[in-house]
Amino acid sequence: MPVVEVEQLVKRYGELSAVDGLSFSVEKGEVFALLGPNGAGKTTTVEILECLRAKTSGRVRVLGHDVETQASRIRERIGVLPQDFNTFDRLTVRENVRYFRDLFGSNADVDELLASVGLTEKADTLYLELSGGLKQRTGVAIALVNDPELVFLDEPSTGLDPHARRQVWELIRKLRAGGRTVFLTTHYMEEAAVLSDRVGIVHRGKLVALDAPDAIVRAHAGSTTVRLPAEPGLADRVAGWLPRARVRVDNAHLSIDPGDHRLEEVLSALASKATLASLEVRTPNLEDAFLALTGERLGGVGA
Amino acid sequence: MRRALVDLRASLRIYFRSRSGVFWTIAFPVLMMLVFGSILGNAGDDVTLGFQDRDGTPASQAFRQALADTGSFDLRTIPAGEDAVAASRREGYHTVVVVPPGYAAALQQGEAVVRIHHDPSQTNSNIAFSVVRGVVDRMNLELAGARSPAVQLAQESLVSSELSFVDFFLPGVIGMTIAMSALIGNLELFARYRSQGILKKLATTPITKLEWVVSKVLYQCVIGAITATTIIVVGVLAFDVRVFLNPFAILILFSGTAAFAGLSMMIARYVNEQESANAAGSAVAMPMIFLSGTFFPLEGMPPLLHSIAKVLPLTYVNEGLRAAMITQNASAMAFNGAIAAALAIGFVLLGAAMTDWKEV
Repeated sequence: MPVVEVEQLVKRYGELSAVDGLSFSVEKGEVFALLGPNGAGKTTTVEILECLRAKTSGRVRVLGHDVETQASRIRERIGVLPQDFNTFDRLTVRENVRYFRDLFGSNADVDELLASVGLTEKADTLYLELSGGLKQRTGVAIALVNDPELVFLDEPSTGLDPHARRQVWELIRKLRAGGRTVFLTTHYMEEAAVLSDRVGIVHRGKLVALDAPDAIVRAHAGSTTVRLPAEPGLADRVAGWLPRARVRVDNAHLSIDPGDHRLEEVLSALASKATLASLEVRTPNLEDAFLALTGERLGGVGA
Repeated sequence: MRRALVDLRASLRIYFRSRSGVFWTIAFPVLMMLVFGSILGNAGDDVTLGFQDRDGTPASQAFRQALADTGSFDLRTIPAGEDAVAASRREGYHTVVVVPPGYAAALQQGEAVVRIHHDPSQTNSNIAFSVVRGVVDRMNLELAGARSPAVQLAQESLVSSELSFVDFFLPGVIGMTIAMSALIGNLELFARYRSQGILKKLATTPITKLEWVVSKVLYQCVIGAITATTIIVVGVLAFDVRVFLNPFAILILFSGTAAFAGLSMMIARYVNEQESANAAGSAVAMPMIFLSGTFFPLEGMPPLLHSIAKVLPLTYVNEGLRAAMITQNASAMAFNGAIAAALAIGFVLLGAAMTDWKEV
């Protein structure tokens, strides 16, 4: 049975449809990411799953329970790191984690939890005095106080520096390794690509792609291309050497799509026949897929 | 309700770590007491009167005793050898009575003169002058053979059992502080937690809105008790206020606190920005504090303000605390206590119902 089942989910604010007919499911033990630019409807969707917002229509079940009628049973078994997470400034990290643990009436070992997110040394520091990355880690520890089967992380690395972001990614990998299902929202292409088993790309409240990141790229972003500086006549010569390749010139560069030539054929032809000032092998990514699917850029810093 | 206690414990820990919270709930009311108590609280005290006896006879001593018996003066003796005016300037007396040498003898002749130096620009000095004249008139009447004055003034304070300003002010300061803390403080806290996303995080936990509101009410009650205790200690030590502690005082204190905390939850529904929370809280609390007999007795107010005061919750808290702690007026305690308790229950339930953590 899927951990999350969403069918034809709609959320309207007046005339505006923030979420416009989403359908997907999340399987136990996977890392699932909703990827899309700000305002695409990711947070609205995830907050409906967390029982924080009411839906307009559609069917949503989390851990087998209905989000509207069985919210308290869902709440006991999920962990939530909300977007822009914050907790009490004037409590220490340990006091904050203990507070939420006690609200859940759980008997989790607070020090063990802190160790699992690498906060042992900061246990007695006031939350107020932590850096952004450490605050997020506190949030992850708090999301785990009730030993949840399913963890929602809403934009977990937004606003963090690259180092802190990678540390959050490590934590997410640990969650998956520990057997938990992780539901992630992000506008960072790279985050979705490196962390998730499957990605749903959201654009203006609609799901435009849903698959493993590689599969989405393969299906929508074209193949690996080779780029090199254009020289007079080079395009025609390359077309002669590699008859089944597609050659385009843009921005004073030659872009070679190998077609059904193997990449090695393209590279060896260029190496033996042309003088190469520089050469770039470009593998398309989710950003390219998003562009191909929507005609827009994701716009995230990590993209 | 276990979760309400978890939240209460954390709230108190946060409170004691916040300097501004401790300032507004402890230091500020103490300052109010000390400043207003010292400025206005001494108005009813004795007037200092310099007294120089240059006669040194039983008759002059009898005159001194007559002045002392009025109970209106703090009599300070100026030695007979000194210049009375210079001495009073040095000591800062605004009124000095001098009994000249030969007073006893002159009295026999019915020609005695007692000199009074006073400073008409000082209210107290004018009062002293009147009282001294009253003493002299009375002595003249007695000497003239009247057994007792035909007309006597029986003096009684308008306020029952001689309430001083500080007696009146102390319950008002308690009422004012709980209104400020439970209304403005709570509203600000709510708005801050909402803008920081803490309320959203709480909505993902099992704590219910009612448990959370109950925790905040209990929290304000604990702070109210700390505040009230501090104010009472200052009142007793610094101003000799006679405070009665009884179950009604505690009931009214906690009811008032709960009512304001509930009211703040109701207002919070309409305040989205953290910045506007303080303004909204003050806009409700400040006029209420001024119009509900916190600083001035309601009896002295024009009818319109009197009617306004009747609909302000703080009025019943102030009147109730005054009745329970100072005047011991049993019917006023019961009446105001009942109203405060009813407001508390109503506002807390409404506040819990209106509190919204989630967005729709």
